[in-house]
Amino acid sequence: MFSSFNFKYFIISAAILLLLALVYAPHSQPLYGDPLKTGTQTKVGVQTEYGLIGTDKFRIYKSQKLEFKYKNMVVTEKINTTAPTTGSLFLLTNWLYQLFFFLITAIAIGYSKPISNFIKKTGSLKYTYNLSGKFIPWIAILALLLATIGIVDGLAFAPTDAKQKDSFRIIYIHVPAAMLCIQAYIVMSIASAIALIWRIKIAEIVAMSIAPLGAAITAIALITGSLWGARTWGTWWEWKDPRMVSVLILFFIYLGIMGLNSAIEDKRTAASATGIFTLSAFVIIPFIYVSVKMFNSLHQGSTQVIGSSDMHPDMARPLIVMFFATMLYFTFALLIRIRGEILIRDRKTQWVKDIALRS
Amino acid sequence: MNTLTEIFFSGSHWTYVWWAYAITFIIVAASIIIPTVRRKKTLAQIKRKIEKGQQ
Repeated sequence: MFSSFNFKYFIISAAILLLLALVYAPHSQPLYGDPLKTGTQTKVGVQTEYGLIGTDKFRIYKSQKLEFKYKNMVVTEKINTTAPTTGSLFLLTNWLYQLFFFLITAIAIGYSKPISNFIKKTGSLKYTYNLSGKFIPWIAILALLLATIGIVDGLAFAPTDAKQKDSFRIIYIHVPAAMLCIQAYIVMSIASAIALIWRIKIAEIVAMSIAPLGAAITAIALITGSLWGARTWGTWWEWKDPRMVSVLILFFIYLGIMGLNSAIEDKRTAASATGIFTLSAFVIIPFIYVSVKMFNSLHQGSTQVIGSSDMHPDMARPLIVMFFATMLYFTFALLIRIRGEILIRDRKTQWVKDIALRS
Repeated sequence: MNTLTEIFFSGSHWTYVWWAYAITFIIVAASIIIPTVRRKKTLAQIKRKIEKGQQ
């Protein structure tokens, strides 16, 4: 029975899923309170013409009023949050449950012949090039269709926000882009780890192809966030805000990875160097997540969109569609980059020469 | 021309929305066009080298 178990694939999938569990489990909703907020913390909101912005009203336990000057705006509220300590127990249970689920999945991948064979085949650059070529048009069509539906729904049919008026419609590109720039880094880190440990070529290519794409998506998140902030907060940029500055650092990390990759001529050495850099800089990701929870931030905390949503369904619907559209766009753009990189790496092989002669 | 000025420079709520969507569109388009063109160039370069008998 154990002879059919593929230990290598079990370890790879377990490592990936464990990383996912560690990143996403703290985001799961605890049943009581929020351990990150245990104790007394202060959160400052900004009073603008559209109301108080920057506070997380759903997490408020008790509050008190005070006067505070913030640039040209007056801040009027200080919030002391005290969460019950039982929250951490439920969060731990949630973590363990997710870890158990991921472990079972990893064992299944280790045993599954078709999955093992698929992973083995994707290690071949020719196979990945041909397979991605078949999927690219469908992914592009689906991404375009969903983006069109999401944008039209978001701009024309979603109701106007009572406080932010129509400027809130930036949410349909800002939030998916902000989520994607972090997820892209997580995927890049996983690919870098695989490339560093097992020296798998395709993992190196994936990691290197994500960097410019991640930089582009982070730029979208920063620019649209700045435009949104200019209208609602009255400021284009705030250096004291941990969320804004940490995402800017993420943008520079992406640029640094691109620079390091192009500075080293040998592709494999470049992949190793950038892999170490990518994993070292991973520390920014949890910081971006907790920045709005742990520090006084102009930026609001995360809003639940799916399930018992804090948003009106007509506002949440286009956002959900745009989440899927941006994920498909990312996959599409990534596959194009991967295919280009495969051709460069394998340019001396016969199969690439055949493709070149046919083109 | 006046309509464009109104869309992008009137300072209304929609102005910020249009700017955000326009900039996003440009970045997304560039992120697709640039690697596509580069891939085509790579193929053309390989083909040229084969025809010259260098590869």
